[in-house]
Amino acid sequence: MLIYTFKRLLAVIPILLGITAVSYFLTRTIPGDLVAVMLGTNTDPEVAAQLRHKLNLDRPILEGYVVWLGQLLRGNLGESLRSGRPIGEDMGTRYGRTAQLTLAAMVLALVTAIPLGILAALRRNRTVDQAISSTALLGVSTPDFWLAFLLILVFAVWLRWLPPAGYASPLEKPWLFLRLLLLPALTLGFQVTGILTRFTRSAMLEVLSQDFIRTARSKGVGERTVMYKHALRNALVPITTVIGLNIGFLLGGTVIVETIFGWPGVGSLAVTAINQRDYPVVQATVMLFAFTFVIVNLVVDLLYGVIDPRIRYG
Amino acid sequence: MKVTAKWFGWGVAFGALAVGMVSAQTKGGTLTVAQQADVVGLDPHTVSAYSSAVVDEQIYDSLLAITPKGDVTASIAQKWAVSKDGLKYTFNLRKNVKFSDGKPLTSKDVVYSLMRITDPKTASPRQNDLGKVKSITAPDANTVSIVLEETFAPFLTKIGGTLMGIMPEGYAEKSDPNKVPLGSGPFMFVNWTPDDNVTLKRNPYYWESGKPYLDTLVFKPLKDDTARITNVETGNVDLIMSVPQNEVDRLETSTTVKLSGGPGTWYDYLGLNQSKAPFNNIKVRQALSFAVNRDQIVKTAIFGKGTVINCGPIPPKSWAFASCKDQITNLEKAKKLLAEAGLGAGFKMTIKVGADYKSQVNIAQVIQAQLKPLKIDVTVAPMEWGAFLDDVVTKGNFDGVILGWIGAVDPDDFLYYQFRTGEKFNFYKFSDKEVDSLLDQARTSVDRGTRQVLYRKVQRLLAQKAAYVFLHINEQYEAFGPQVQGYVHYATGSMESLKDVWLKN
Repeated sequence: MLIYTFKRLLAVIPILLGITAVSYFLTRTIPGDLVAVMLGTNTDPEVAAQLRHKLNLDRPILEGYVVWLGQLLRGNLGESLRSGRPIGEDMGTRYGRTAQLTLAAMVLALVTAIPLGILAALRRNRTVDQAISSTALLGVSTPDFWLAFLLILVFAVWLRWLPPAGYASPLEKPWLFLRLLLLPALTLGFQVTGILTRFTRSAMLEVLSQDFIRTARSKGVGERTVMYKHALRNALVPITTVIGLNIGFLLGGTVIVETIFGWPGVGSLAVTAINQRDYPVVQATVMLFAFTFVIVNLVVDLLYGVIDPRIRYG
Repeated sequence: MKVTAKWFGWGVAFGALAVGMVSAQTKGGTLTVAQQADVVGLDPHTVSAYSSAVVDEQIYDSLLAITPKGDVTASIAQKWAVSKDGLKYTFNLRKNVKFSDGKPLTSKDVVYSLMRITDPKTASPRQNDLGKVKSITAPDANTVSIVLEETFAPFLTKIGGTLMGIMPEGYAEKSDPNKVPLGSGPFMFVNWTPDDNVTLKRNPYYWESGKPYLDTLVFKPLKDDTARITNVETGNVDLIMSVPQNEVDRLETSTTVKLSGGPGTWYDYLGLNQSKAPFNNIKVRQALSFAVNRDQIVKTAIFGKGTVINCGPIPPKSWAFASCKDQITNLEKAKKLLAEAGLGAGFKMTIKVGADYKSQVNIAQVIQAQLKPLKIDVTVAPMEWGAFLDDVVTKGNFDGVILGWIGAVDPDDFLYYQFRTGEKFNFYKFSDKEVDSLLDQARTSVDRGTRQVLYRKVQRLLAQKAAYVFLHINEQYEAFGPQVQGYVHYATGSMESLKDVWLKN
């Protein structure tokens, strides 16, 4: 197990290195650069040249990559070209906020999706199942930007129960924080809830049709034990994989949801940075998202062994 | 009769004064303003983003100021004089001006700040704004003198621009004005949390007595149009900038929100690439100009929130407005011109437009329909803004674009760099010797009457030669809650009025 973990960790290194190259070169090949966007249609070529020089944008791209990678290896994400602020510092606070939002969305999804999925599997093809399955389908197919506006319209504008957008620190204003968190977390988690419900249902159904369940039932084990100890435990392996993959989906979703709800996390930062061609910031956000995704999936892989003792790694 | 009118005027004046005294402005409170974009830095000399500029104008004073209507008025400089040849400007500074750290503002600080702007090392977008500067000196603590190499008519409005702010001598070397700005304006910097808020508080040393009224001023970015509107409607923020044109009518009837705005200095146009066929042919350009129906564009693309322009870009409220009707709809004439150009069978063209600028995308689509009778097959290509700039500004790779220009105060700002041969904002490669010479004359003559004649001539030529297909001037609005009092909309987009704003309990 320890060796396996170590091996998996080692395998992460070339992946991350590949990501640095992709994020760097893709960012640099987008047409239009920071200076063009900064000055817009008021671009005075003289000023533009001065600025490019000042910001080291007139250096060869490959040289820039080597310099950036060197900084990165020393744990330095550099400074935002646009605001001149250290990226590491800003990213730290923002990453925390994105994590709050993503976790809240995931928790919301889990506490609704898994029970609903099980229920649907148990009442297969009956009204309850049909209701749950069609709601889940609705969830999967609802675009988050649309849902976001619907929720704002209903809860902020019509009912006035919740503030439409913004952020508050959970330590300073915990109540306001929760009120602000609810709508974006619902929006973000809605699709995942749909996916997870459907997945839990089918995973449960598959397990329930297996021989060992029939064996368990025939030897007189109670239905409750069959469900939770035998069926759910086995169904959890594929469900965990889907959860892991969906963390990536949620992180991607924060880009839109954070922008709509004015949630100052990494997602909204990515949008701004891309629009402004703030290269080091774009690279840092891509790296951070990719890194999180890789780590989450590593954790999921390791969890398999815990959930299903049959899975042993040599 | 005359006497009566005069006395009546005095009566109104006293009446206004009395009313002003009764509804005394209350001091204190926090005003939260939501803008469309994040603040990206606060150094007044290097920023170019509007979102940063509106914060900087609260923190900094310039030598002069611009009134809501666009006239020059006193600020830090109480008096100013121009030499007869128009080359030497002398400014007498107000004596009681202090920076927000309590230190007095002297001519040395002014010299330092203006030198910093004009120094190429600063890479300021405004380094050439003051014309060709020969020297900036401080003969004594309260006098600043600036000598130019050649006369430059827009000089005073330029030096009164809000981003010509004065910071203490040596400040940029000691500290980072991009993160911690320090000026003598009505508000002083407290804190900036990127993408979350910039917080300012009242500058206790501000020279204009009694102002500002607010204790605290907070700027927040709310990029989404709907989010901004919802926030002001629910009272979550006090004032929002950049109200989308399609929401104006609804908000005008709203009981919870008030609107302030009107025609500004932002106009839209159809620009044609005159370095290539068929747009290098004046007849083709004229045909397009006659085919476009400007009234319909205003009605459908910008929800009626605009004023049609038929003769150059300068807004009707400016002294340099030209009233000719050379760019109007005349489909028959358009068809005839196109036939004369040998394109009676039509042609294909692409109109590129920034996808984020929804009104401009709308305009492009309306024009697409309007050019169909000429058998011109238009493809509308909405592009990501950075990519658009790369194609249009850097590479000149386009047929036509829909673009806007937000002019400042002086007519030169709308015309010189855009239409003079080979100049930096002349992306469409328009070139006309007469226009060039008129623009040069207008720029170097100080007399307003002379300039007015010249600018009217220039605009008429631009309209006739279809340098641009001019379309309309946009109306711009801010919306605010009923608690916000004393807010005045500036045609220039400036938010300087915040120092006059107070909150009703």
